[in-house]
Amino acid sequence: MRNYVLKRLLYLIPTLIGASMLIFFLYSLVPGNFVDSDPNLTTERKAELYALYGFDQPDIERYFIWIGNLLQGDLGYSLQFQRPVTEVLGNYIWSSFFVALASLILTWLIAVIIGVVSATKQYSFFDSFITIIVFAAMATPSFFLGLILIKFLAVDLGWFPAGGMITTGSNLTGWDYVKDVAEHMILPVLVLTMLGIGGLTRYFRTNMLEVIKQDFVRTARAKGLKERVVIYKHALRNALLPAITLFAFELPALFSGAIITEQIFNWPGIGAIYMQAFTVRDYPLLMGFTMFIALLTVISNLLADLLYGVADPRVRLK
Amino acid sequence: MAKEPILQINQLLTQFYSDGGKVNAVNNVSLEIREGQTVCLVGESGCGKSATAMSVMGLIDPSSGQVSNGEVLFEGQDLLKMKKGDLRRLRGKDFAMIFQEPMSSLNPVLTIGEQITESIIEHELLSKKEAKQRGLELINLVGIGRGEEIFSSYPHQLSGGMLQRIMIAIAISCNPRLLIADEPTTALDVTIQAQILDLLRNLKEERNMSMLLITHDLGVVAEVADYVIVMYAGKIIEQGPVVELFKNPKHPYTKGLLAAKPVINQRREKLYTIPGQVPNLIDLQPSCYFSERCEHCMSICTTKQPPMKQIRDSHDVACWLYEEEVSV
Repeated sequence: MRNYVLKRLLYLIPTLIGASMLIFFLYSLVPGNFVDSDPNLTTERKAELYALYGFDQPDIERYFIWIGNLLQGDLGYSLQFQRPVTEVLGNYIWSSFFVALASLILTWLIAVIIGVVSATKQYSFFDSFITIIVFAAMATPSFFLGLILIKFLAVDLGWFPAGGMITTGSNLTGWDYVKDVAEHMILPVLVLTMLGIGGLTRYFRTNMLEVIKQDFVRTARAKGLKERVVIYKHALRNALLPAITLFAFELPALFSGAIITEQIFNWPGIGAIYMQAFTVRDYPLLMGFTMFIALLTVISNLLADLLYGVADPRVRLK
Repeated sequence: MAKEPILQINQLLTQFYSDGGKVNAVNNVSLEIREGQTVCLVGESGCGKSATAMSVMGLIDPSSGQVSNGEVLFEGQDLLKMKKGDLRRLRGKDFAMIFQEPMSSLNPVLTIGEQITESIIEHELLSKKEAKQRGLELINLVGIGRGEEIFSSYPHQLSGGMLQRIMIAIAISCNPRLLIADEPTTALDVTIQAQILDLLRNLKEERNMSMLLITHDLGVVAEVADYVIVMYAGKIIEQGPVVELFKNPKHPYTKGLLAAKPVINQRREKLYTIPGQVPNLIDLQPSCYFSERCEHCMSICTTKQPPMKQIRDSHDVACWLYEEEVSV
């Protein structure tokens, strides 16, 4: 087992090197950069800035400098913020993370429950009703869904704040601060959950329907086990297995932000920063962030394989 | 024949839904199994053998079919009229079932031990420790050594024959009085088949169980059955004690089945086959369902259903050939 993990970890190295090359050269081969986007600069000033940021070096050389810095945990220097990329990411990534985490937990919980119930009561009223609701939520664009929620729940009813992360001008600390942020989180989390729930519900419903038809479920019934035990112990465990892979892939998504939803709710998350960096060609920030997501993706891949082995005895390593 | 019937099925009608309408998979079937008796249900694929067994177990999937009529009396109680919970408490305890595919009939993510003990714990109110003790004894009883090791292994680590032994262990774990075995040896290779049949026969004798064995293998029937019921297109067409039926088959279909059985040391160019196919069960007109394939088919066979008639002591056949009052 330890050898296997070690081997898999070693495999990560070439993958990441490949990813870093792709990321770096894609961005550096794009014509134009941060300095070019300011038309008011004189030629001398431009040359000065080129030298300062290292844009005058050959691409290959710049790649190795970038890689060298990466290995020391330095993702580069954001031109737009004039601060290290790690610091910028650190400032914004957590606000995105908490929204994503809350909606992830909510989405999965609801999707599993609905999936199981509509599979065990296939073609019932509940099943059809939920199917329609779920598809409607999934098919509505996030900006529309967000605006509707703001209109009804925030403006008309005034239950939740319409946007932002904390009440403007407030100076809360401790629990009050947490409560304030949580209140602001509710609407964006709701939107993300409604968007994500559709596909996942259908996924669990299909998996469950598949498993319920299996011989071992019939055996469990023939043993005289309670229906609850048959469904939740025998069927659900098998239906959840393939979802482990899916779940591990959600890990990078936790940190990558939700561009549109964050914009609508004025949430200071990484998605908004990412978009902004594009418009001003803040490539170091983009490269650093993309590399970070690439790293998370390969790690979650490995995690998915290891977790699968824990959950499914058939692929467990001896 | 003083022994009481442990299972009595009266006029059972089980229907499955299909695009063309309802299909009578089990059509007016009546049979009984006495204490300690082994009854074999024989017939081609799709003749309603398994559907009969599933109806008894109450395991017909409600989305695909239903038991529409009849009685299933288990020790006098009608299982069809029983509350779901009460039926569940009997199922796996007083009557149990083993299935055709041992490979897929066990849950791949639970240990063998877990799967053996859970029904013991459910029905016998034993502690986990006592259940494990019982489980180990059962593994030993069905002829697998290394009990502890097997107990903690998963289904994919065992062979088909071992898994079927485990299925048997699960089925007999609460000392059922009736064991239904639905083609228990079909998926296994021949040498293992014989071992499993021996095991079933021994267990049945030791524990004085009754057994309903479903098979299409007449070799199996000859080896273990006391009484044989032949089904065709959802109906019973002939039944009788095993020796009598093998020596003196009456129904042309039974004769055909026996003729189609390969005999050792008799090499024939071609094995006998019954011509034609099982009729489509959807729109059957009142007739003998075998009439299309029957070499003795008479005019009445295509218009009227033959009644069950007793030929000899507990040997019944449903065929117009044996109705004297019919003029040919």
